[in-house]
Amino acid sequence: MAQTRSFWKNGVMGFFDEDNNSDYRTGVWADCPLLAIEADPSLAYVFMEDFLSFPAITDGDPPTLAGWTCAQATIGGIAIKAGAGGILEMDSESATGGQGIQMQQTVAPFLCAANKDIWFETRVRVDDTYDKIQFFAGLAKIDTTLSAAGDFDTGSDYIGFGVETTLAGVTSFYICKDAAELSDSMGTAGTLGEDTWIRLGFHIDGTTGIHAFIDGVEVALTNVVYTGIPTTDALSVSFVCQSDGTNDPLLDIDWVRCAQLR
Amino acid sequence: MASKLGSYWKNFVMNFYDHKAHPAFRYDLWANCPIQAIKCDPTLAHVFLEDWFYYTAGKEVTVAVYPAGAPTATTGLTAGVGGQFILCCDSDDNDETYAVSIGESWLFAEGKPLWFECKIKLTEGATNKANWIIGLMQEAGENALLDNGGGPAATYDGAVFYKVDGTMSTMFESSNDTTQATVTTMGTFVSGTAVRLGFYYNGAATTGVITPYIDGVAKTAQSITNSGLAEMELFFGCKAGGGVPEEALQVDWIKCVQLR
Repeated sequence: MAQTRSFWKNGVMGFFDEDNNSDYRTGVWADCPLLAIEADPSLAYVFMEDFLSFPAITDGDPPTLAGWTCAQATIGGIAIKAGAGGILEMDSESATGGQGIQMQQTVAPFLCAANKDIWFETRVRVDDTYDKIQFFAGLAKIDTTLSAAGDFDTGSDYIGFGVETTLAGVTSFYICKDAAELSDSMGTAGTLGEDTWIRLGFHIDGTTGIHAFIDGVEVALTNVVYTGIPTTDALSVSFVCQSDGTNDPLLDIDWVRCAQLR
Repeated sequence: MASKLGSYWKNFVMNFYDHKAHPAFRYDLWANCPIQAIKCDPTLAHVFLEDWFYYTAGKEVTVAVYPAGAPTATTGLTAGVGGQFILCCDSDDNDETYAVSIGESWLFAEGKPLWFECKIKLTEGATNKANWIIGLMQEAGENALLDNGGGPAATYDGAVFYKVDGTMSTMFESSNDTTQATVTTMGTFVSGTAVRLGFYYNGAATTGVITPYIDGVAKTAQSITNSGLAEMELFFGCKAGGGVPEEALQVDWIKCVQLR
């Protein structure tokens, strides 16, 4: 049912569960010093949202809730839904391309810098339908039009996974620094399925390395290189769910975690 | 030195514990919960831990009073070491108040073990008059505790500790729809004394096993059929037994962990 194991990567030891997630060893958290962070608050800060205890959402245009800023591209809503583990549902509420909703942490607590590694991962799924969504999941500068018409706003820095317009459910990994966007398609590993969970993670190795992970397995990057890591803008955890036309997709978020060395 | 770090393996799960402050950890509810791995790996489990240093209405829990109309005392944080939450209900017979988590986020299912524990205290206005309940329940809310000391609702999915007016026993019940396993004498409830109440659901196929714990001591396990169960809320509540001062259930902390 559960089996504790330890694993060392890059001088960092972590514990994992062999029975329930053996791919921890290949995933984004393997070299995040979470055990040391637990013992030493001076080391890093960790944002974890599992949607088990979450600010009350006031329905509106846009919805409002403490700690997060929502913005609509015409329409869209968010709500906590029933489901084991706590789930937040983002609803584009539109079958018109480019319409939907985004949400960002109101403060932007993350900033890429030398020796200040960032680890990020989230678990999401798309419903109705996976190939008619424009979405983003990652870190971005505060920007109320992060994905205008399904094209990420290169006026803001960002790091994350997403599907821009007409990409039909094939996720790419993007970074944008000072209006220069770099991206790599995640290919088969990053192709969404209908109502199917997918884990999207990345590790920013200070300013000298960048790694993307899908479902706990690293995906090689070609176009995205460390020189494109944005270091100017402070970044917040950000999600976008918009329609790419025809259907009104939902983006469910199971959890999101982001840790950065202080 | 008030602490002495120890490690302990149970069912292939390793944990650290304090051999001076809490040596009984090894035989307690949490000994086989893979907390160390969960710390490192967010894919493994979801964790609800509320110690009541903060409370924002509608965030940690949503409080509802039945019938509407506030009791005199104020529900919310109260002074106390370690953070304390107090839930108050009106004194009229069968008036009740519940605090319910924001989502139905827990489900007894095969391969998804679950650990639940809390520490609570209630000082009765008059002996034998208080009703209280705490645990996991589908659609928890009004009449989760039935009127006139009737105990938990007749139909629900969940597992709960509770007490009813007319007794001073701590009771436990697990339920799949209308099929319940009920123990009415699991422990003696002592007014004004804090008690730890917990249970472990093992995630076995077809028929899960729920083992209750009181103050870290395992009690007789119960079986529950997995099929047909719905997602549950984490909740607690109190209900007046009639003609007495208002009841107030004090919750020190609650922790609930389930493998994803």
